[in-house]
Amino acid sequence: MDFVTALNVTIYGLGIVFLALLVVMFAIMVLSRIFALATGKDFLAVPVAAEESAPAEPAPSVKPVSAAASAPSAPALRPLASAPRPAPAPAPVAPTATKPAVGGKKITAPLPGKLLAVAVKPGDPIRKGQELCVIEAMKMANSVKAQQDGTILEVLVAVGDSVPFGTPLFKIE
Amino acid sequence: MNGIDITVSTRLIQGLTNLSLGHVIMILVGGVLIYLAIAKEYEPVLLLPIGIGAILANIPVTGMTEPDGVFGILYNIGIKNELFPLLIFIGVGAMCDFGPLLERPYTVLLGAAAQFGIFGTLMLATLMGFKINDAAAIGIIGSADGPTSIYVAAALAPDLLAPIAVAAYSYMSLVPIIQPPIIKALTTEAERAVPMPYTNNQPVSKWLKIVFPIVVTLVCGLIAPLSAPLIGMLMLGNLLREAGVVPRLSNTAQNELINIVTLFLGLTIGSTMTAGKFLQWETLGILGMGLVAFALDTVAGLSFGKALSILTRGKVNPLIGACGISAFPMSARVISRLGLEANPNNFLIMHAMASNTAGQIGSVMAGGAILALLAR
Repeated sequence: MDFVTALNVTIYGLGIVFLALLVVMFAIMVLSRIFALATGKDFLAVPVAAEESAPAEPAPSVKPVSAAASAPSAPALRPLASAPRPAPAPAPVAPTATKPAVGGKKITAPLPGKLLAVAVKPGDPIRKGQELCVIEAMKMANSVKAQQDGTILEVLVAVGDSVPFGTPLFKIE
Repeated sequence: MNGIDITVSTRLIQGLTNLSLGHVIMILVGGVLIYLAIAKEYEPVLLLPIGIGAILANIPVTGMTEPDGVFGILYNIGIKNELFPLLIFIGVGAMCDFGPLLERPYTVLLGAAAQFGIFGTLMLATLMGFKINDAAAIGIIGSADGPTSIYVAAALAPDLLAPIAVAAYSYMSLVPIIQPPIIKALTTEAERAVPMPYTNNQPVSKWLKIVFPIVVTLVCGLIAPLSAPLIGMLMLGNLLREAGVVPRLSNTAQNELINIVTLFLGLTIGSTMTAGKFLQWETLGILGMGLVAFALDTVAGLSFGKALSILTRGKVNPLIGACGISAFPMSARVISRLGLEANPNNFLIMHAMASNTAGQIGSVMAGGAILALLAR
């Protein structure tokens, strides 16, 4: 008897919860769209390269909504990192992710956060699995480890920097 | 003269003469809670006052738990009318960052799936012979959220409040111990290693963050009106945080308000742990069922995560389903750690936080739904 009531509570209860959260989900999607239209920025999509050039070319902001293409588009979305260095101006658009002209590979931030510590310096040999730096996200320290052996050529960030996803952290070879 | 002397002397020792075995056991239970709080750091902010409350309430003839005593007064102004959990929710809302959730709207649904533990436990408890209201109050332990558990239990089964609160808060702090074995048993190393990249490096619009709490309040309030007090307070706190114009209120909510109310909440809950109410076989049953609730939450969340993973052809790591419970932020951290264990370059933290904050909303909705369906 009580079990039947419990079963009903379960069906209706879970139904209500799913319904409410489904509505919330669609609300978020619609609202992000509205805000995107209102401000010309698509908040849920992969953002365009630099803040300054964004209004000029609104088209690419809509394209990558499906968002799976993280790795290749990563270098294009580093407004913070490219801002202080005006010299390689065309760089942000060009697909120079894996092979920059200077030579060597770049290690990019695997998650957005704040740089807590850097464990290596230029010239250091690194081994696969070695800790390179620590990025704090949501008050949790995340250790970024080397994915291959190599040598650190250059450290591109400093402790305390806020590093959006895809920010180049190190140049290695 | 002589007569008065005798009365006075017996009065002086009536604490001792009235002490029963039940009192002693409950004082020891209080001691264990204090030990867990200090030595093991299991939710010390709560278990410490609960432990002291339990000890004080079990000293005989103090009158503290009478309606006019300090605990009686606190119970009537804060627990019986459900005010304390609501005030705490303002603080919880002010601490919650829904940013990761807003970047990934689909994670909202993960917060719904992991509430199954509440309802699964409800059904199991009725099968074990608990009455429907008691069973629901026990099931709500599966909301993995202290204030929600207390809010619902105070309405449906005030007699079971103490064990339910203790179970809810203890298991919440035990999430890092409860969840990993279940998750590891149900997923393969390869599944846990699935990386979830970040594709968005532009922070969510400030206005979206501001509108979000208002929209959630309206949606949840209209769909399940009895969840409106909890969700309303939660979202009020969040609005204080995101509005950016009332940093003082936001700070107060996150610190002074929630700390003061938590202190009194813990103390009062502890004071309901009197021998007569607590020392029953039912209590053991409740503690056991609470663990079942957490386990079912994890299983249901994982299953939903797996379903999403299949639907998206492997783009979603099933692990983030498991932190759709609301033990925030412990659960998200556990998931993040498990992901890193399987693959050192798999940073799930933001995805896990999104799912975890969704669980916060989901558990409150579930509490409101249960109240709507069962409260008279």
